[in-house]
Amino acid sequence: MSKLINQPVELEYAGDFPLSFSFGQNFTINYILKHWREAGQWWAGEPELFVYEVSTNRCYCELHFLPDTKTWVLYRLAD
Amino acid sequence: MFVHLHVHSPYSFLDGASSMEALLNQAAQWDMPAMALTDHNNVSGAVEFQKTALALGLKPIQGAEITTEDGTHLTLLAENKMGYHALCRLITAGYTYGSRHQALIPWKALAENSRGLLVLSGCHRSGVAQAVLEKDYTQAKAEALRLVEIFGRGQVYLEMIHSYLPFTQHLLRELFKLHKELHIPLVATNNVHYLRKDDFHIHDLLVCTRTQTKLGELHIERPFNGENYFASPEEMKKRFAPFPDAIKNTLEIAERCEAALDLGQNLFPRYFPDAGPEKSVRVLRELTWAGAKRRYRAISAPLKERIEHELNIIEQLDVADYFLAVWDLVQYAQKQNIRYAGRGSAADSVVVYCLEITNVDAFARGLLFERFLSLERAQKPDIDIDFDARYRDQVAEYVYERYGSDRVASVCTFQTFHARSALRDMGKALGFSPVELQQMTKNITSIPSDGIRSLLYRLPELKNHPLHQAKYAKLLDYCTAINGFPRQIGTHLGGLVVSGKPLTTVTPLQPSAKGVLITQFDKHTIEDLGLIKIDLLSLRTLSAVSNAVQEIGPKLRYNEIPTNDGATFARLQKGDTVGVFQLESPAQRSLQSRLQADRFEDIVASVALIRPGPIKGNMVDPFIARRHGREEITYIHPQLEKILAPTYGVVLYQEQVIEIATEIAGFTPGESDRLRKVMTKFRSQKEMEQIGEDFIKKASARGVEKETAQVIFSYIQGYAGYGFCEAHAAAFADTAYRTAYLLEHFPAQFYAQLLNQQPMGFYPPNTLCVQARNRGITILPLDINASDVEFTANDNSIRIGLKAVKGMEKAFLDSITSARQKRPFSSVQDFVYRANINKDVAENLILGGAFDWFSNNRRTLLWNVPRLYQNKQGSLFFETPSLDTMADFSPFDRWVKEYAVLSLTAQGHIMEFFRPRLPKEVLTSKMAERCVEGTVQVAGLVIRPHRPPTRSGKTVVFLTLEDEYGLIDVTIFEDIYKKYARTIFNAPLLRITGEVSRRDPNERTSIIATHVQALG
Repeated sequence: MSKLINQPVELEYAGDFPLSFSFGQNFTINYILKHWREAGQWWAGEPELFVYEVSTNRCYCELHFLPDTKTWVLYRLAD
Repeated sequence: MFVHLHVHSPYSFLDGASSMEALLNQAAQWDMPAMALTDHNNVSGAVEFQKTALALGLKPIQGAEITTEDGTHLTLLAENKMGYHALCRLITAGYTYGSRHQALIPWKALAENSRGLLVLSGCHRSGVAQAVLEKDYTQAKAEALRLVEIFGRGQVYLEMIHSYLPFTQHLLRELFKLHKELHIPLVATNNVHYLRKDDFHIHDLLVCTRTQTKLGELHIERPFNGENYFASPEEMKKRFAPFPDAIKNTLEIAERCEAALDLGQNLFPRYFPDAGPEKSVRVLRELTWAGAKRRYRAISAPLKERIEHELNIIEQLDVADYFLAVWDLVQYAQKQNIRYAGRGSAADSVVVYCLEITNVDAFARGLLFERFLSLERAQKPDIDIDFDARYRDQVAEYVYERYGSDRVASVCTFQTFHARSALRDMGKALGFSPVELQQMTKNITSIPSDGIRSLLYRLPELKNHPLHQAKYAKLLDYCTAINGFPRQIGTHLGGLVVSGKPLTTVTPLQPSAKGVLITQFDKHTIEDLGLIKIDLLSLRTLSAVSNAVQEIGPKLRYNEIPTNDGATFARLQKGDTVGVFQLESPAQRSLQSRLQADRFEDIVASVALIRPGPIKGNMVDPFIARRHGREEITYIHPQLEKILAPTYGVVLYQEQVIEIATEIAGFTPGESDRLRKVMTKFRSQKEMEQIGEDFIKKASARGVEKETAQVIFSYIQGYAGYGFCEAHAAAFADTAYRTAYLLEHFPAQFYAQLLNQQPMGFYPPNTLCVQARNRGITILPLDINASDVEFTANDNSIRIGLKAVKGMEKAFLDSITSARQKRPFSSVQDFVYRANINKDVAENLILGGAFDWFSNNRRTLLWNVPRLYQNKQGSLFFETPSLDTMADFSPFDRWVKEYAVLSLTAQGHIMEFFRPRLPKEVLTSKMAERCVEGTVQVAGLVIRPHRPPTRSGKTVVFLTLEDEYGLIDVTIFEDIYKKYARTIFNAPLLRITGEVSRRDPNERTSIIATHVQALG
């Protein structure tokens, strides 16, 4: 099961690597399972997106980083 | 430190978005010791790459990203010359095995041509990566081991590309595992497709163009993100922090590779393969002297000296074999009765004249051999020959047979992005509709694609052009970014290279659309590789001449046409030269009437005068005035007299510029040639100024007063722009005079043959018909029984040929001629039944008047065509149905429809329909021609409006109005042009009010427009 969240989150990170974030509870990131960068629909004004699939102390999460605005978004939670 | 070993330039054709120069400059800026170039299945950028890299102090590593027979990719790098040769053979094999659109290199070929190559396992489309991504580790291992087996251990590297794709980390992990298990070293690349991350959008658009997709559409080859840029060494180290060896190995590879291109050698074959160069020189001497005796009969001491001088230079440059090869192929043409004419700077050579390659007596004309060939420049000779267009390929075929098909190939060209192609391709990718694309390219001239914005503001007819809209702003940016990028490879019109060793050791070969093999280097770079180009060009004028001569028969001895034929010169003096090679444009017709040519030299000068250089340099008027003694001929320095006397003190030819530089400033031939190049191309004002300083300094040192030197250089500067060399002008003048002779004495035959060779020349076919009618020649209508395939002529008439019909194909023509050989067509029904042609062409034949003898009611015939075709298909035995009848088209509609399908009409002119409605003040061209002053009004069909360069730099439009009586030329100056620009370039018929212009009594009348309006 997965749940779409798509909410901005404050993230602690070291260098380029995410460490933890809060979303109701504290999520500690154990592993980055996958990481990629997407250009998106740049011609429609969509910003570049860095995607991180991570394993946390609670569940699997998909985090998005928007380099243009330097903001993090918790995009999805999964079992 | 890090070296980029997988880099695509624009020569990856729609897969590289930054210029090679920009990439190399960045590499040099980052102190990278080397860089590799790995375009897709080609090495087209290799020469430019090697020269630029070496100039920047970088080691160029030649390579290519190849596609194997199973569609997987591999990155190959040439360690040395042997490796480069192997790469050329492999790419050639790929195009032989695959298709002209896609090279697919067989593994067998790789096994046979592996020496000297380093192989990187490739991008995510490689065999190794594909297996990893399919989670088949065993297969990945097998793929990696196959490379080791083919190329040898130590030659293979596992290529790691960290471009942040969803599978990247998995792929990198598995490659590392393979490295540990198989002991194959790792290497890091970034599969570079553009310089900066920001350039990714350009790359995506180019890929859309290549894959024929729009930005909103998906395609597997579209890039996922913008990470394949020319990353800095720091960035690459960061990306590959867990794999430091992968970074280190880039340097190791760079160390191992050397600049693999062998530049500056002479690969032209020995004419006598088993003998040394001495024999070629000896034979060339013999042929030259024998030719000299034929051409000159008596050989004077200065002539002997001149020929010896040329032969010595030819011998010292070791190019005698080239001259013999060209001599050999014109011998072949002569034996086959193929008409030809040598042209270009080769006509500066007496040796070339003696070998009967050109028909220009360089000795009698005092032409400068050094313009063609000099010891100091030591460049390769370049001989251009025009052949009768129909037989050019036959001559080329002879060259292939003579030297072997593995040693001859056509030179390629690169079709580069210009304004219109960039707008179309980028616009399509951005999703603009076909209608928008058509509108946005309308009236955009052939200019570089980075000049569209300035064009929009410069040309008044573009004032309200759609491209001004804000929604096109990005599009114009993208067009600017891709300006000059090669879009696709094509075939040079005439260039062939002949090599002494198999060409595939020098250049890969690939098939062209026409089927011939082409090199992967164009005419600019092929010479650097040691190959010499022979230009075998097609000239339709020569085809028209050949056919006309044949049709005229024994009444004419073309090669013995008198050079002083009064009637021919009288025609030139009237400026009545539509159809004459090189002398038919409005500017030339005007010049002819003013110049009053009465000798061959005048024609040579004419050919050279109407060029941007002399026009901008204001040389036309002084030339004419001095030619007729109306202006004194003066020389600012006595040394100029002997150089400029033949052209009345005017700098007209490139040779004169070289002579001035040599005589006045003591320029060496090399310096003079540099001046010629800057002057003819006029690309750099700065370089011109620098040469000017040198000229003045050197001339002053030789005792010429500084002010005088400055004035002399201003002559040269004034000439800057495109100008002709005298030799080329003389070669063209020869054909020009002969075609004028044909036009004067055999107009029906010559016009008919000009019509057969369309498209050619300055004017559309209908103008030729109008001119022919004005000479009293009847244009006989299209007739399905009487018309031949081609236009045919007798002494006083021309019959329109069937091939003029729109949509006509060879198979249809064959069907028509074979059916009527049995018996003539008796009706439209009979035609539909017996001729195997499609309905559209049958309809066009009707509209063109081919069945007027059967029924003059074209509309009735047209109406019945679908029914006749239906009936033909539906019944086993064709019954002749009767035709439904209806009122015919109006005469105007008949004319318009006939013009639409034939591009000409047998009778009448569109102006005949408008004339009765026009007030009497609107004169016919014939009446206007008689006016010498005052304000007049004229009207007609607009022919070729154009904006040539002018002396003032202002825009002036020249156009011709054609009416039922002939032509009248119109000049539209900038103020009027700005006012009526859209009308001028869009209306098919114009009514123009203007002032009669005649600069001297002999000049043809032209009109200087003061008011323009659309007619109809």
